[in-house]
Amino acid sequence: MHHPYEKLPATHFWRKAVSDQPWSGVDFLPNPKFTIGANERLVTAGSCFAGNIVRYLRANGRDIFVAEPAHPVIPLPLAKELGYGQFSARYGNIYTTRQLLELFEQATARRDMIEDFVTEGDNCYDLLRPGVPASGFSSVAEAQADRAYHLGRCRIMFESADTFIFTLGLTEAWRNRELGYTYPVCPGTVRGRYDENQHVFINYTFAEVHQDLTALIQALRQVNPHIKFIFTVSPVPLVASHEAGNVLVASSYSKSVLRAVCGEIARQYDFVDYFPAYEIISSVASRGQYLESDLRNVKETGIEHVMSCFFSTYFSRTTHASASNAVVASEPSWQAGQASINRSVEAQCEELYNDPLLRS
Amino acid sequence: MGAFGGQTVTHSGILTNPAWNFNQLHYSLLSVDVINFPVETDPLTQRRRAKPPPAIASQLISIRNRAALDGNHNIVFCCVRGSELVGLSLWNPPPLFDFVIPSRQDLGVEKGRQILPYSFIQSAIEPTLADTMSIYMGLRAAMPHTRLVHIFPPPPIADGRFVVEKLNRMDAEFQKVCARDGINSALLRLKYHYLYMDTLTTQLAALDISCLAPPPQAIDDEGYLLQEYWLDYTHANAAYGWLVLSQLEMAVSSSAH
Repeated sequence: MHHPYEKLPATHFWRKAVSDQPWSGVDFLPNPKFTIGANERLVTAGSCFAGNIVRYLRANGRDIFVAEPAHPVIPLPLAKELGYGQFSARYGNIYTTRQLLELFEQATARRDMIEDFVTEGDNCYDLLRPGVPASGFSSVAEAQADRAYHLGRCRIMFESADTFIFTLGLTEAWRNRELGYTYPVCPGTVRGRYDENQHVFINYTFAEVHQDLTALIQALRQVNPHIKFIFTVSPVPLVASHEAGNVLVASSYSKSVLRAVCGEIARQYDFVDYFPAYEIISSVASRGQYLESDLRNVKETGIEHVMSCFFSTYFSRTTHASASNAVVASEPSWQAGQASINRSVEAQCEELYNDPLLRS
Repeated sequence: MGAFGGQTVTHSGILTNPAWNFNQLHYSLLSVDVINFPVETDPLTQRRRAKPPPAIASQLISIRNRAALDGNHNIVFCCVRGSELVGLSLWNPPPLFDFVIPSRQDLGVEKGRQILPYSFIQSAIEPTLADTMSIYMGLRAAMPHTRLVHIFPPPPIADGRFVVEKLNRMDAEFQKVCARDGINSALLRLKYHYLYMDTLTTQLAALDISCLAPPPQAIDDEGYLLQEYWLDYTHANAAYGWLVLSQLEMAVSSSAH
């Protein structure tokens, strides 16, 4: 008797592809839709897990396209504090697809710049990127001017990127009740003050995330017709949920929605790929070996496995080196300094501030 | 520094004018240009300070002694440096940048320029003021009871082409830098001027030293030096000096009442 499975390759069978394989030998993405060329402009954005991608790309001599570098007169330690080098531009962590879509809309003048600044003490903070810069701005005018410049650089980034790597992090978010825009984190946790009359909770559904991601892809392809996308889902569970019930269950819902949207979108477009970072870390087959003792944060060995697979999948294997013994190629002094900063950048996660115990 | 009484005051060293007499009060005009002063680092504070050559130091002692003997030296107007910020305000390292002074947000920013933090710009100019402050600390120590007034330099000239034409007074290396990168826009130079005045006003207040702003008659609506007072990129002309002298007279007169 013949059936459709009998001629499928080994990767289609759990026993051959998973249980009979050492975990490090599993080929998670045997047929990527595309590879990344040596001179392509890589742009990264997403949740704090996305920061690890940046770190490992650089450690392997594949720097991202930095559309918003620090000004050369800024000393390197200050550049780091000001939020330079974490991603391709200074947008900080982008946890939701809606947040990324709104950034794109502002950068390309499809909507006005969203202004939500708060003054605390002598400094002013931008609630759309509360950690950029860490110590805030000297005035509201400085914050406004800085973000206007930032959006201009984001526009260049969107228009110039060859491959956009976006790590989807959360479905739970907080929005401005009156104007509808989305915050990266709930006001009052990192910066600002929570006001139930101004701030409203939302847990984006599959349909909403799918709609937002589709809108982003289509709009971005209008300004940059050749751009490709690699989507990943952050394996890091929610630090806190505003939904009723247990945070683990809420986290499962959130990741499931994001994972399902990525799968659906990747089926629709030949220039969109899904990279299974989430599965490498979170699958039961990994036996939890990559989780820290809090069962949430990912160990360095886990990140290394993810990035090793990422490099094997998308880059020439001959250029792949482990992060621990990578040598950064000689670059002009400023870029070398910038790279040096970013090798030491720990993924910064404002979402932590949702948990009062972790704030102190 | 600006020009006074028909004579541009750009001397190296100290010019102590025979005291003018306005309304029975005496004051001195003190001009200190320490461009050629050697600089040393204070081992305690690690701040740079000017180390006056012996000839200048002896003149400072002379002033101190005269001030101590002559009770009529009610006010000493000081033209201490002033050009130290010129280099920084002209320097235009690419890419184009701008900054916002919290107290002068009305000035706005030039579109498309990278925004440097105000705190960074402020920290960048403080070392350039260290020499000025060390001189004032010395003056204050020499004349603890005398009213000291710092005279601010004239505001910038809006016309960048005029400024570039006069750059031959600058250090040759700096001229090369300016030729390569261009000079800052007028707005940015104006911001540096305001920042210089704000910062020095605050620092000098701690020494109980007040400041005299440029004469309003010499400034246009946007804050730049009117063309009729131009001399070069940092000095105003003699007509400007006469306006400042009028300011000094008014300050002395008001002091008398």
